[in-house]
Formats: sequence, C-alpha cells, structure tokens
Amino acid sequence: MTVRVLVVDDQAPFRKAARCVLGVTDDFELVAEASSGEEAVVLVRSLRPDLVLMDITMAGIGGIEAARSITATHPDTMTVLLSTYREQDLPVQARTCGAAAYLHKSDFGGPILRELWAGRCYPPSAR
Amino acid sequence: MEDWAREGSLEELHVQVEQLRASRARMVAAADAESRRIERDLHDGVQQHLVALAVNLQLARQLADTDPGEAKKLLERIGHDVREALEGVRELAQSVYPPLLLDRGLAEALAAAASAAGIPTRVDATGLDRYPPQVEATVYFCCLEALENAARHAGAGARATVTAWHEPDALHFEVLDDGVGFEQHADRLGGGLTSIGDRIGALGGLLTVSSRPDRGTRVSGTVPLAR
Repeated sequence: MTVRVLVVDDQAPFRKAARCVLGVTDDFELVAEASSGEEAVVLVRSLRPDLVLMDITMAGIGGIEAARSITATHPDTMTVLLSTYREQDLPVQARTCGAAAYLHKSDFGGPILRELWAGRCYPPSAR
Repeated sequence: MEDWAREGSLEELHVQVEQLRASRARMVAAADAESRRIERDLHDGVQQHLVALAVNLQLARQLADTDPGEAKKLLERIGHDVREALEGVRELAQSVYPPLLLDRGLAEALAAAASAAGIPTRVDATGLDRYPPQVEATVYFCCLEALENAARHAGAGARATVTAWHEPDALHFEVLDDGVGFEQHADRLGGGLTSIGDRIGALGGLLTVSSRPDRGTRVSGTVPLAR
C-alpha cells in the first residue's frame, strides 16, 4: 500500500525538503502541498490523503486548528504536527487537537515517517 | 507672573509632558516591534533553511548507501542552501546593526546604504568623524528610513541626496529628494517618520519634515553632541 501524503507548510524550504524525502521513501507518495491551514482543509476534502504533515505556525487558522478540523471530519486521515518548537514549548492545544503525533522538523526523514505510520503513535523523542 | 500667564505656562507644560509620555510609549512599542521582527526573521529565514539542511543531510546519508549519484547531487544542492542560509544571516545582522557603521563610521555606512537604496542617491558626508554609537545609529537609521520612504513614494525618475555634517555641538543630516512630494499635515507623519522623530527626540535633537506636491521632500535632523 502506498501512503498518500499531503504536506502543509508556509515555508517553501521545508516543503522542498519534504518533497525530496517523500520522493525517495518507498511506499510514500506526495499527493499535494498546501501553504496554509485553510488550503489543507480544502485539499483533504478533495484528495482524501492518508497522512497530513502539518506545520503548526502559519498565518490564518494555523496548523493546530486545521488539524482539529481535519481529524474531526476525516478520522481515517492521520495528521502529524511539525514545527521547530521544543516539545515543552508547544501550545497545549497541540495535544488535544486530534493529531496523532508531533515531530520536530529537523528529525523529519524516511525512517521516522515509516515508524510513525507503522506505529501510529508519538515518536520516541516526542513522548 | 500674572495668573493668566502662569496658567498658560502650566498648560504648555502639561502638553509637553503628555507628548513625552506618548513618545516614550511609542519608543517602547517600536522596540517591541523590532524584537518581534527579528524573531520572525530568524524563524522564517535562517531557522527554516537550517531545518531543511538537517532534513536533506539525513536524506543524503541515506542515499549514500543506496544511490551515491543522487547523494552527490543532493550534497551540491545542500552547498547552495548553506550559502543561502549564510546570506540570510548576513542580511539579518545588517538590519540589526550594520557592521560597516560599527567598524568604519557614519560616512562609509551611509555611502553603502545609498548604493543599495531603491532610488539613485548621492551622499555628501565628508568631514564626519566618529561619534557616540547611539548618535551614529540614530542618524544612520533616520537617513535609511528617509531613503526608503523616498524610494517608495518619490516616484519614477526621482533622485535623492543625503548630506551629513557636524558643528562643534551638533550633528546634522538632511535627506532630500526631487520626487512627487505630498500634501503635508503637521499632525500626521507616517509611522516610520514618527519613530525617527521619537528616536532623535530621545537624544535631545529635532526632526523636521517638509514637503509639497511636485516639490520633493526634505527630511532633516539635528542631534546634539555632548561636549
């Protein structure tokens, strides 16, 4: 099974890096990119991705609200929050918005993605 | 002193106190805004480049085993990204406090700022010496703000001149453009110019802005030098 991924980040450098990682990670496929939470909500509705990689800090509704909306309407879609915050600096809502996991952006890569998808739980570094 | 004269003086004093309070509040707000800008620039600029570099380095390490050719291409791109990140750091440092101003003083820093301004600019700042850092920084950032305003609003074909000179007890500057000018309202300076005025006022100096439609704009200021 190929995991269909939506990458959501207002920062082009990270979207580009995520594109590269997904391009060489077997069984994962980038289906679309979005640069805002609002755009992500619309794309999830039309594309039904398996996994959403969601940046937290974006203008507009932001990643946490977008994750809340996506997980409420599409419970089969797994949402992973990403940011450059240390875990202890995350807003409380990050844990209650329905996202399955939190990942520091600099830890992002093929192996952790596989681990997350297989376990569908928080990665060890974010527990 | 007659009662009416005393009342007039008190009233004037009251107005000045209020102006000072407002100016201090604006300066605190401006300092906070500047801190937020730096935080944003760090987060949206350098930090994002570094994050992408970390991700790509991990990917290159992975590819080195499975696809060395692709790993090499990725490493070349990483080299390019490192240079971009370095440029971001340089730009941010420059916006906080230009190294040239610190090392070489106002005349050279103004010449460099003019060459990068969005409007053709001539600088006449010969004869300047070194001054206390707060004086140099205030005059520099005032001239920069005035030049940025000129570049934004003076119109196509406009040119600017920056002149700075000192007298025994004060440093003077003037930024003049021959652009479209504007209808002046004494109580309505733009945010940037108000901030300039506050900064100069805090050093005991004075800022003057004069403009008329089709007659260009002149921003000039004086900062006292302690003797």
